[in-house]
Amino acid sequence: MQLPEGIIFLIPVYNEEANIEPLLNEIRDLYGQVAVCFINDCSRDRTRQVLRCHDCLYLDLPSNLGVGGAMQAGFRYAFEQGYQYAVRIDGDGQHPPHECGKLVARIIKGDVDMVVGSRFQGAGAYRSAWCRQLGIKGLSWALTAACRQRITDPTSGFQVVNRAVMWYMAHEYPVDYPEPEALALLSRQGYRFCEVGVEFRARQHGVSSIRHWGTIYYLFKVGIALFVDRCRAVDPRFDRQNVAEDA
Amino acid sequence: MTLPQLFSLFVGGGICLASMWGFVSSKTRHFRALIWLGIGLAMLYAGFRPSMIEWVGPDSADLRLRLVVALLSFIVITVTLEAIRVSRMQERYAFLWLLTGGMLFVGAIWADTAVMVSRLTGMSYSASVMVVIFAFVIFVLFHLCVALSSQQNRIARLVRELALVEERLRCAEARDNAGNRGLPSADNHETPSAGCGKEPSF
Repeated sequence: MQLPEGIIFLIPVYNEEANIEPLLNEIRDLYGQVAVCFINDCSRDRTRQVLRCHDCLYLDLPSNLGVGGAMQAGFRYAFEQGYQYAVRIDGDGQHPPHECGKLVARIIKGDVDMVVGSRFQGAGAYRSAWCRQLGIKGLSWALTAACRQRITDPTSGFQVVNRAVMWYMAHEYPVDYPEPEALALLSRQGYRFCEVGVEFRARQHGVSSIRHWGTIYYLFKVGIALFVDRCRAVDPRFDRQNVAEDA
Repeated sequence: MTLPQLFSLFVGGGICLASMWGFVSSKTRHFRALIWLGIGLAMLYAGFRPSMIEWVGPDSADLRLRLVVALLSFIVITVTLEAIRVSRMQERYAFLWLLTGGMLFVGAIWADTAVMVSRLTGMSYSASVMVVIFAFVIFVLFHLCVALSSQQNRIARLVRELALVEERLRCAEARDNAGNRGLPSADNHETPSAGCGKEPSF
């Protein structure tokens, strides 16, 4: 499988020492010498040393910013280095790299700015804890209303973005649990995005960063953020029309 | 149904409908529409509870206190949401403030809450004590929250900058090393490629 020129993989990692090598090997096997940039969000394990031993780009954040802050650094790097598209996948191996082809094929058609991989449109039905599923249902309902387009997987971090979105996200990206709010913000600023069904894998090693009370805080945080963002004026600097000229 | 009640119901209902329509059709600022919705709902509530209208005339002190507390909770919630919107207060700091506003609101709706707390803690004259403390601490704490948020944003920006600069430095060093040894340098920075940033071995 050949990807077009100017693609970079952005992979935020936090305490993922065991997942890096398999993921990197998988990407290299599939796509050859494509640019891969890990963003090490100040891990407390040996992630940094593992990254240093491998043939890949990495940004080593000196303090922990959370996935939103880390991704913002990644998007900014990708934009400054002149990449056309950035593929964002998680460092825990849940997003299979072989599905990237579908997303990239969709975005190079050029009619959307971002493509999101959705668990709930794919072939394999994804199962998770009932409370989490309930939360996802509620969020997808709220986002479907806010974006005026159907969103089935609002929490998916499996995304491909073009330069316009890269530029926007390098400036404005929510701090923690960014994905649902980012969708609402993008839609409000006039960006176009769509979902493509992909199959997610179970986590390979380690533990998820969202557990127990995290789910409640997640819903509270995202709920408030979605509500307040709607009350915010649209920022003309980041409007789709204006960004298209810069990017 | 007395006349003041009917009046309150009609006006409150009208304000509710108008503000909801304004919110949906974006004819007015969303925030303004929500404030009006709050006012409309309060009037509707007053319409169903004659005691709230009797407050305009003679009534008990308890009811007045509850109204003050309700107003206070409304102010707390509104100001917090406005701070998130304008000064980009982070949601994690807003959590406590919204909780405070919510508890005040509960206190206003169920008058027994204050009595219960005062009975539990043994504080007589509880409500006034709480209001005083609250008013005193509120300004300081709020200021703290906003300052902390902006500080955190600044640090985050700094950290990103540092990471980018470090990556650039690593690239430059790798290129330098390659050049000094007379090797063909991996100097294809115009076309993005992987693995330019090799860590120098120590």
